[in-house]
Amino acid sequence: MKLKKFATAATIALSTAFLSTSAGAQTVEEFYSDNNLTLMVSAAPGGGADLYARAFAPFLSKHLPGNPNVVIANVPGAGGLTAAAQLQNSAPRDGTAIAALQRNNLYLPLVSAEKLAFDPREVNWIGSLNKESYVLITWENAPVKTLDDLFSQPLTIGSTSFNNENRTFPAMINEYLGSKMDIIPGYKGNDEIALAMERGEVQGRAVTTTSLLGGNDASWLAEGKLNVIAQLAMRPSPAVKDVPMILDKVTDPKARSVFEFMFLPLDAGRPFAAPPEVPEDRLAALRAAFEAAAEDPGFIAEVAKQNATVEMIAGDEVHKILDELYATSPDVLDQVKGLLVSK
Amino acid sequence: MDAADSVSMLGAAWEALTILADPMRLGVLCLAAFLGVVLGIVPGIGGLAGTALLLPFTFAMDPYTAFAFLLGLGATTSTGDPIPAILFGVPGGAGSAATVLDGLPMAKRGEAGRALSAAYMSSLMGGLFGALLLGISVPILRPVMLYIGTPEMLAISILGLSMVAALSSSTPLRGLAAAAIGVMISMIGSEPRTGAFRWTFESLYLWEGLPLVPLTLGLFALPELCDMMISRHSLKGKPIQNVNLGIWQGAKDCFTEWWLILRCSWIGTALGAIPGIGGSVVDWVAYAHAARTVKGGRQTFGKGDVRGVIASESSNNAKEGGSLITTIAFGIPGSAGMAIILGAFLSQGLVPGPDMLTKNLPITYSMVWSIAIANIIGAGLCYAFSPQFARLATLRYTLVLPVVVCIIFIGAYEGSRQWGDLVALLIFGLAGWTMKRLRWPRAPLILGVVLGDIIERQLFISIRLYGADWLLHPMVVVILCVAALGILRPVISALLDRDRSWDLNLQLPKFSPGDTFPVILLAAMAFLFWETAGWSWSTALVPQIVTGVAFVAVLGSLGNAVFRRGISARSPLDEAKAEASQAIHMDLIEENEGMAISEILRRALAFLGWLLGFLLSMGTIGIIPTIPLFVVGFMRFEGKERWNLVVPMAIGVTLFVYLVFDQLLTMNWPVTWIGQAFPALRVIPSV
Repeated sequence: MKLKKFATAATIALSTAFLSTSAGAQTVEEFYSDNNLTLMVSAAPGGGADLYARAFAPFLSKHLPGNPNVVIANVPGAGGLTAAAQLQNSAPRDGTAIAALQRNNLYLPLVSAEKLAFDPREVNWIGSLNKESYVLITWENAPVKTLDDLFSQPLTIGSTSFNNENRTFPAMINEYLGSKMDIIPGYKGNDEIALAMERGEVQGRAVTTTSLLGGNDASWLAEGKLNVIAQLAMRPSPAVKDVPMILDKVTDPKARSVFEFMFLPLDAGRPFAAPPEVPEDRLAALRAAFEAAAEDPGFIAEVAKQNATVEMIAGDEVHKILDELYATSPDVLDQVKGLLVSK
Repeated sequence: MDAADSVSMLGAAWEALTILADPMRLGVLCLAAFLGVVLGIVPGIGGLAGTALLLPFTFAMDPYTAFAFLLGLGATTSTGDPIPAILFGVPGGAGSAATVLDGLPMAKRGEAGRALSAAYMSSLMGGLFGALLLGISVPILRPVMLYIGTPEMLAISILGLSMVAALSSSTPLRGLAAAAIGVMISMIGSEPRTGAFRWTFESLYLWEGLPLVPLTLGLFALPELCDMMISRHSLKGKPIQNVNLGIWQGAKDCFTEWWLILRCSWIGTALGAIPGIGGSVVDWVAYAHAARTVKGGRQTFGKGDVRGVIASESSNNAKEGGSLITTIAFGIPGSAGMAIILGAFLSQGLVPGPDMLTKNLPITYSMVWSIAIANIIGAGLCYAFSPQFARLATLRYTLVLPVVVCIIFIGAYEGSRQWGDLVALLIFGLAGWTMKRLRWPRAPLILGVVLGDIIERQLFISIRLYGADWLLHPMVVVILCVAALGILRPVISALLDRDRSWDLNLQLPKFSPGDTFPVILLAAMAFLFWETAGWSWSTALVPQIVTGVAFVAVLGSLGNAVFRRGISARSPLDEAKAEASQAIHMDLIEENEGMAISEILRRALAFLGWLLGFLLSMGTIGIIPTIPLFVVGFMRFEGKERWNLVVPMAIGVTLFVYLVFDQLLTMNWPVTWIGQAFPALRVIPSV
C-alpha cells in the first residue's frame, strides 16, 4: 500500500515535470502527429456504444490537428466504471488517452453505497454525442393504453437490471405517482424484453426514444401495435410530441426534484472525457475537434445509417450538468438512493 | 407453407448464392476464412477480438460482402480451435475444451494426424449441417421462437446442467460439487433484481462476474502445460504414426460416424440458438451425449476415443448456424461473436426481425451460404497444413512451453483486459491442476459457471410471471423429464452395480495429504456462506442453496475417501475409483509412473514460479519487454538450449506478439510500474 502511494506520488511528480517541459516545446499539431490517440470504450465490442465510438473515431482524427491515429480500446466492466476509474487514475495525462463513458458514471458515484475509484468532477469532460429520452410503451392488447390507465390498471413490464433506467424510471413513477407497474428485472438486453413483449410474457417496457424510432419498435409503432403512454424526460421530444409528459403529473416539489435528478443525465447520453491534468492547449484542441467531428456531415450520415442520431453537447455543458447534480440537496439524494441502491 | 412460399424461398437462396459467387465477395470470404483459422489456433483470442477490429472496415462494404467477411471469420475460428487442443491440450477457444479430453491422448499415442483430421472433417460436416438447418428453418424461425418463452428456456438450461451427471460418471459426488461450485462462481457480481453485489469483495473487477476466458484457460490449459513441464516432454516419446495415413483414417472415422455427427450438430445448433449458452458449453453437452450413447463409450471416452473429438467438434461448428437464428430473427445475439455481427446489422441499416425473413431474405440466405462456404475453405486450409501441425506435437517442451505460456497470458487478458484476468487465470490454473491430479472432474464446473446465473435469472422471471404454474407448460414438462432421466439413469445403474457390496464397509479414518484440498474447499464455502448473511432473501436464496449442496457433496466425497481408504486404496487414483462404479473418469489422467511425489511437486512449483515471475515482470516493465526475458530465461535454465536457437526464438515470439497484439489488435496493456514512474519510457510498447 505504501509502495503504491509512493508510486502514485512519484508518477504525479514526474509526469508533471515531464509534461510541463514537453508541452511547452511542442505545438498541439506536432504532438498529435507523433502520437496515437487511444479512445477507451467503456463497453464490450459490438453493441450500440462500441459501434458509435468506432464510427466516430475516424472523424475525430480528421478534425484533430496532426490527425493522429485514433485507436479503439475496449475497456468493458462495471457499467462503464472500470473505464472511468482507469481514465481518472492510471491513463496517461498527456492527451493521448480519452474515454467514451456512460451517463450513469455522472451520478452513480454520488449515490452509490460502494466505494468507487471515480469522481466525475475530477476528469475533463470533452462533450457528449447524443441526448437521450425515454418513453413508456405497452403492447396493443395491454390494459394500459393511455397515461390515465396507468394509474388505474395493473401492468407487467420487463427490465434488464436494477440500476438500468428501464427499471429505475418505472420504479420512480410507482413510488411517487402511485402507479402499479409490476417490474420484472433480469432480461438480458432490450431486444430480449422486446421479444418477451411480443410473445406476451410482459405487456410493456420503458425504452429510449432512439430505440423506439429505429429497429423493430419503429415498424410496430407504424403498424399500431404499440401504445406510447408517456415521455420520461425533461423536455418533449419532437418525434413523439403528442405523447404526454410524465413530469406534468408530478406536483409535489420534492418528487419533482427526484424526477429531475434522474432525467438530467439523459442530456449527456454518450459522454466523452479526458483524464485530469491534460495540458490546456491539447484539451482545447480535443474539445474543438470533438465538436467539429460531431457536426461532420459524414459522421451524421454514418450514424443515420445505423438509425441513430447525433445531438452534440459541448464539454462545459456536461460540467454544468454535473454541477447541478452535485448541488442536489441531501434529502433529495436520500430519496434517489432509495431508488438506486438496494436495501 | 404453401408452394409459392417455398418457391420464393428457393429463389431467395439461389439469388443469394449467385450474389456471393461474385469473385470479389468470394475473395473476401476466403480471406476471412484464413484469418478465422489463424485466430482460432491462438488460444483465448478466438474470433472476437478480430471481428471487433475488422468491423469498421465493413462499414464501406455492401451487406452481402460485409456479412460474408464477418461470418466467414467467425465460423472458421472453431475449425482452428482444436489444433492447439489436440497438440498441447490447450483449447483454442472455450468451445473446444471437450476436444482436449480425447484429442490429447490420441496425440500422445502418436495419432495426432488422425485426431486433427477427424476434428477438421467433423467441424466441416457440423458446420455444413448447422448452416443447412438454419437454411431450412428460416421460415419457421419466428413462430417457433415466439412459442419458446422464459420457462421453456429455463427448462432447456436445466437440461444442459443435467449433463453434469454424464460428465462425472465415475465420481458423482465430486461432479456434483464441481457443478455447484461452478454455479457459485456464476453468482459473483451484481445481481439484476436488487442490484446487490454478491461475493465481489469490493473489487470493481468482479462487478460483472468472472469472465469465462481466463477461467477456461486456467482450468484446462495451465494444468496441461504444468504436466508437460513435470514429465519434461511435450508428448510421449512414442513414434509418430504416418501422418498421411492418419489424416485419411481421421476423415474415414467421420464418415463412419455420420449419424453421431448429425446428432451432435443438432445439439450444437439448438443450444447455439439459446442466448447466453452459446458456444461455451455445446461441446460438453455433445460430448456427454456421445459418451452416453455410443457403443462402449463409457469405457473408452477420455482415453483417446476419436468419437469424443468428433462429437465435440461437430457440435462446436454447428452452433454458429444456431446462434445466428436468434440474431437474425430477433436481434438477440446468441454469443459474444454474434453481438458484433449485430453491430454489422446496425451499421448496414438492417433491422433484425421480420424484415430479414421477408424483404431481406436474400441477405439472410447469403449468411447461410457464407457459413457453409467458409467452413469448406477453413477445413481445406487446415488439411493443407496438417502435416506441419502434426509435427509440432513432437517438439521439445522447452520450445513449446514458453511460446504457449506467453500466448495464454495474452489470451486470458483478452477476457476483460484487466489485471484481474491474470489473477483469475493463475487461481483457476492452480485449482485446475489440483483437480486434475486428485481426480475431480473439471467439465461440470464450466457447465455450472455458464448455466448457473442464466438458470437463476430465468427461474425468478418464470416464478414472477407464472408462480409455480411454469412447471406445467407442456414443453417444460417434457424437457424436465428428459433431464431427470439423464440424472437418474447413472445413479440407478451405479446403485445396481454396487448392490453386491452394499454394506457401508467403513473403516477407521485414514487421512492423506490430498485431503487438504476438500478441507480448503469446505473452509472457503463456510466463509462464503457466512458472507451471504446480510443479503435480502431473493439475492441470497440460490447462492445459499448451491453453497449448501457443494458443502454436502464435498463433505461426502471427503468422508468417502477418509473412511474407505483403509479397504484397498492408497493413491488418489484408487480413491476416485472407490467412490463409485466402474464407469470411467471423464477427464484427463496424468500418470508420471515412477516419479516421486516430492519431485512432481518440486517441478510444479518451479512452473508456478515461472508464471509468477512473468506476472511480476509484466507489472514492472510491461509484457513486451517481459516476453524475450521469459523465453530466454526459460529455454536457458530449463532446457539448456543453444543460444543460436534461443535468440531467434525470443525475437520471433516478441515480434509476433508486438505485431499481432500490439499493432494489429491494439491491445490496451495494463499500466506498468516503470511506465508510471518514468512516463518518458512509455515509448516502449506496452510500458
